[in-house]
Amino acid sequence: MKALFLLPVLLALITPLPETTAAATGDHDWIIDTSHSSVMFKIKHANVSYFYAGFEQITGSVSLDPAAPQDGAVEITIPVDSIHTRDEKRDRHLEGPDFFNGKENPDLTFKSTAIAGKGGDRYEVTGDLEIAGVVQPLTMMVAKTGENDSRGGRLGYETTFEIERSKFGMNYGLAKNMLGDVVTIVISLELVKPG
Amino acid sequence: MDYVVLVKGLLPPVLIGLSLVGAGGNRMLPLAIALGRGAAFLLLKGWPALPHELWSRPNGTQWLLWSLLGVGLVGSLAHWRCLPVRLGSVAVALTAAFGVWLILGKLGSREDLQWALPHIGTSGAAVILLVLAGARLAARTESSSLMPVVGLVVLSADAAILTLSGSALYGQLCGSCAAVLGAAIATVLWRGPLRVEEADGAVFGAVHGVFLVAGVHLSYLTWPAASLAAVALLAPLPIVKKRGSPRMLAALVLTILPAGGAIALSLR
Repeated sequence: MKALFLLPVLLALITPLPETTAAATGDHDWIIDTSHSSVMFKIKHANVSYFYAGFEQITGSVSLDPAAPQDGAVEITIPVDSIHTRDEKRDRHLEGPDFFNGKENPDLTFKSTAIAGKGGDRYEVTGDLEIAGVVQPLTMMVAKTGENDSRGGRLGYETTFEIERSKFGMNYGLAKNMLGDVVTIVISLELVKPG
Repeated sequence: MDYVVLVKGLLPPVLIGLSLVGAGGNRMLPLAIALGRGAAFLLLKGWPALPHELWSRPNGTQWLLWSLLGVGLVGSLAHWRCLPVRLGSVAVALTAAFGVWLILGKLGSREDLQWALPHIGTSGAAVILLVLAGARLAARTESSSLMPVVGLVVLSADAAILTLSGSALYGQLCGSCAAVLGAAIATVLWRGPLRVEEADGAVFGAVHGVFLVAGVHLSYLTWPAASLAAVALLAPLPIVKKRGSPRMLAALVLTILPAGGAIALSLR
């Protein structure tokens, strides 16, 4: 009978533990809280005014030790079909071959290649930004916006940067400057602990 | 639509159509269509990636361009009798079907085999059917002006439905083919009747089919609209069974009705 109780213990000893990496479990590893994070962009329309819109979804992870930012990593994925411009027809046009070519390239992605501390809670994050199947290097300044201990801990970062959409093959509306080339993107991340 | 973009997409194809077909006659038509579309792409989007680059970083839109360039070259070889007449249409059909596989390759690689086989297979088969239908229609109406007009109606309707369903680029590229054909038709003013041969009809069918496939899979062209547009090339076939048939007007109506229906569906 005692052997029966020992069986789970024995099984636990011989069953290999799931492989975990420091990145997945460390104190400085976070995942993006999609429902409290934002991706907004603005673009000049008709060379007159700025049009603001955004994406409704963002996922990914951030691993950043303020004491050793160079060892950190940032990965962000934004589904193209989560674009929201308050006009369904315009959303579909943006998702199509004239802009994001979303059926072939369903996500916008960013993967960091280097992170450097810039004093205080500011970091310079360099990486590869992929939009519409085109990869371009990007460097952005990221600032910590806050933290608290609620629900296992939360941490906020924000960045604002500019891209030239023509470099990603999106040149619709550039003639006569009906739609600007420069797109200003604001990403505000609320990070939570994985699991 | 921005008129600068419109001019970039239409003017070079018109000039290419007028100069190549005007100087070289109908034997230059498949090549003129390929070059006109290439010039439009160059002005609208810049230089495309080369095929060897597209192997490692595929892009359906750019494969579309290269595939139809291949179709134009094979069609030209067929027209110049470098290939046997019957084999020419088959070669155009196989080139277009291979193009479909390239265009949908990236999309297919993200899906499982259960998606890829029926979608790519059906699309390839539809394009082959349209190529052979175009070739047959051209062969039966070689001595009349029906085929150039049918081609113009079909490709113009394709350009409209592609634009309406979310891609100005596809609309313009397809419209550039219609523009070359329209310019070629205009050369009758000084060259006499434009004879569209079997190989040219095959090229029309290929351009028609490949753009519809790209519109459905890479843009937001709906299946019903694409199917109606496809029917526009198939519908006249049963009533032009003999060379020199007098039923040309009825055949043209049978092209215009489904083409118009496709546009109406895309407007909704």
